[in-house]
Amino acid sequence: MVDQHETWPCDKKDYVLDEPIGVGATATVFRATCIPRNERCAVKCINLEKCQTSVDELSHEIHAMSLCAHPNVVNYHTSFVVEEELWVIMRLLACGSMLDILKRKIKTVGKEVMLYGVLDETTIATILKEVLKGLEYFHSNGQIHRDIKAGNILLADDGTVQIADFGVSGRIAASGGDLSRQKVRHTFVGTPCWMAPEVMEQVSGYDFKADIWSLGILAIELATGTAPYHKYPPMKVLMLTLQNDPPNLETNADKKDQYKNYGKSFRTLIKDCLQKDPAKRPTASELLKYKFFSKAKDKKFLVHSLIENLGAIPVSSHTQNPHKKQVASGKLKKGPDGNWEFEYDSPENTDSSDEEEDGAARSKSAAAAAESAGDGVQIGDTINLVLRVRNQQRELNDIKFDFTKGTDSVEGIAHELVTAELIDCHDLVIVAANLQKLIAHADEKDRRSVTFALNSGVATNEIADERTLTGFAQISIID
Amino acid sequence: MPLPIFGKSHKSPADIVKNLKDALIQIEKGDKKADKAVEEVGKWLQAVKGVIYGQEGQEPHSEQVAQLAQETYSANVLPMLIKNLSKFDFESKKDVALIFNNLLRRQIGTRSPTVEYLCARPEMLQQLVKGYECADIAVTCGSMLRECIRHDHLAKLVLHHESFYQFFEYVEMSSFDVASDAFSTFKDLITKHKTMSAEFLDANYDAFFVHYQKLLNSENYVTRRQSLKLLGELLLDRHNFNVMTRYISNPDNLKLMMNLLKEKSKSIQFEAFHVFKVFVANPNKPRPIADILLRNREKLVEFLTEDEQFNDEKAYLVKQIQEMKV
Repeated sequence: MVDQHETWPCDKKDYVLDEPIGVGATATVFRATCIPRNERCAVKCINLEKCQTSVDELSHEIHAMSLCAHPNVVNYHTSFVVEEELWVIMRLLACGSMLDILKRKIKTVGKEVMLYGVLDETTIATILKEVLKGLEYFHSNGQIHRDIKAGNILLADDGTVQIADFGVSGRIAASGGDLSRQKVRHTFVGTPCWMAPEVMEQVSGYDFKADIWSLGILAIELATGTAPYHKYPPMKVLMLTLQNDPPNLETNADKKDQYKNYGKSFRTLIKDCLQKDPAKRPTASELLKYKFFSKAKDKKFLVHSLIENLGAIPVSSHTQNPHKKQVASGKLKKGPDGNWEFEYDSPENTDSSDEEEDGAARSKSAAAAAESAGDGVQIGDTINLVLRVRNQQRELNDIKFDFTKGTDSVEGIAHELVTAELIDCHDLVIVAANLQKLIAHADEKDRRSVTFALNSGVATNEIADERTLTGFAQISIID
Repeated sequence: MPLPIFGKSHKSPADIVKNLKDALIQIEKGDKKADKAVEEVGKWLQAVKGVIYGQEGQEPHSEQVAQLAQETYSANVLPMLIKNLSKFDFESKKDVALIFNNLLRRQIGTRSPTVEYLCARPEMLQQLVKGYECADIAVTCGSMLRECIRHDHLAKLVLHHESFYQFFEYVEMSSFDVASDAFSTFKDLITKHKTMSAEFLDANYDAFFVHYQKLLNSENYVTRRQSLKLLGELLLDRHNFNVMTRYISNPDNLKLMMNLLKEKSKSIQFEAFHVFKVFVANPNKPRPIADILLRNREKLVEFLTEDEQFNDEKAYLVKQIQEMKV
């Protein structure tokens, strides 16, 4: 039973940290438990040495967070210093950010199907309504979030949608939570894809209407999976946003009426939010009265559509493949002609009840399906591995992870290591190749570890040296 | 009496203040009706905000705001708001700070009526300082205190009161948001009004720096780092010339800086360096200071050349140390 009236303690020994749910260069978010309150929480550990944001900026943003008490704004509990780290205690939002969910959905259901829209209108309306209620509270508090994007919209396991801690999260999420690739290489923290034109121009300053522009971009992101100009480097994004007409759903489209199944009320919402003149953009309260939000449902619906049945594909009348309705079970397999095809479930184990139930039944059966394929390690076997490599500050780190045959893929892990900034993106392939080699010989006793040269080379004042793993990395199996 | 032209029934400033005061009196009685009164306070604070910021996007009416301010002073509502702050609900606390800070900024010609009101009631400032000892109003009081400190008369009242030395504890509190809020108020107090704080530091040099030493030696990494950074700013501010001269002629202070230079934390080394350089760059170094520098000459030169941070300053310092005559 949670002990509510017990205040949140400010001492490290009162918290038990479980596994990390967000890793970054300067901050890590852990699932944790507060012992005196006997309550789950999230603990964000910000390394004050590595984090360029000054202590004043951090305290300013934590101060702003502590002024918020609203169901749709992340609940800040307390914060305290532990050696060189700042621990920020917040509510646990276990299902990750909407960006993680979008990525997971695309990964589960497959890119081809997702071309016609990632989330359906009902889900988008439900999420955006919650975000707007949070923004309404924010703006009434005289605060501007400045970083509204899918990476900063978090989901709890009961379907609660919360705007992540702003400012701090804006900068920290860019390194901690939102691990979009563009950020890896640029000092320009975070990409400006969500930034309003007046903010980019920095001429006349900006007000809360900048958040309304970002909400319009978020709407496009939830539908198409990415922000309009996500492919371009930051400088190009600034230019496109300032010179072009405001983006819309079609900005991302490659094919004609690719996003046909998104209706007029949704497009009107996006058009009104994405007006160049901030004064013309509606306020959060006005937006909440828009027709589009009559489609919104409650958070239990989000539990159903985003947590339990992420695999279900949105209702789309014109899915390309002519033969029977199929869903990708997420296991990649090479087709006879050598290109990647999804291994679709055999039709007999899907019942023919209505669309929504269909999706639920199929994704449950997909997860349950055990496919036996021998090469050394049996399906479902898990091997524990450690990757020893130097980080951006050239300190040697051990990154532990496990590999389960059948569910994990070597490229998937290598990709996650890159997006988590644990390895340089130039080393994606070399790490995957050596991981592959190691797993293939997992059962031979003598081949328990492999050391290899990295493509990312060495820092200017270093010379490559296998012994000290400068310019090299090592993966070993640990039992 | 202006016609209620805003649609929903619009109470006059006098009514709003009167109702607010009644609710506050109810709370102070503390009987079972107090909970209802907390809600009432919340409602009337919203009404006050409505007058000050205008309703639903309309501009506020300046004579209404003036009337409201006048009523607030004459009814002595501000002291009651601060005294009962911890009893209000979450949003009301923020509204009190918003209203208080807004009133403080009100100017009539060259006069600031709220500043005068507070000058006549210094105990209100002490209540705000004491607010740091109660976690759930600390940050609200801090915001009001910093608004007060923007005015030199009020800053002087806080600085010269013995409760000022409480800040050395408040900045070390375990909760980061309270401690960092206290630190920014503390910093405003000793840096906002240059001449006044220079005189204060000069007059209270020993008492101040005995306390300040504890901050520089605190186990809390943030306290050490922030107080070191603030020390650098203080010493390098020309208004504090006397204080600086006195500080850099004390060998214990030099030893402390040299120890901090050796800390593993890059940021603390960085801040310590900016204080250490003042000792070395002092043209007429007192004997004890010169002795320490000479005794550690090689180590210092090696240390300064090894790390490539702030090289040009270092090159200068290395030359200084090397050319020191025995």
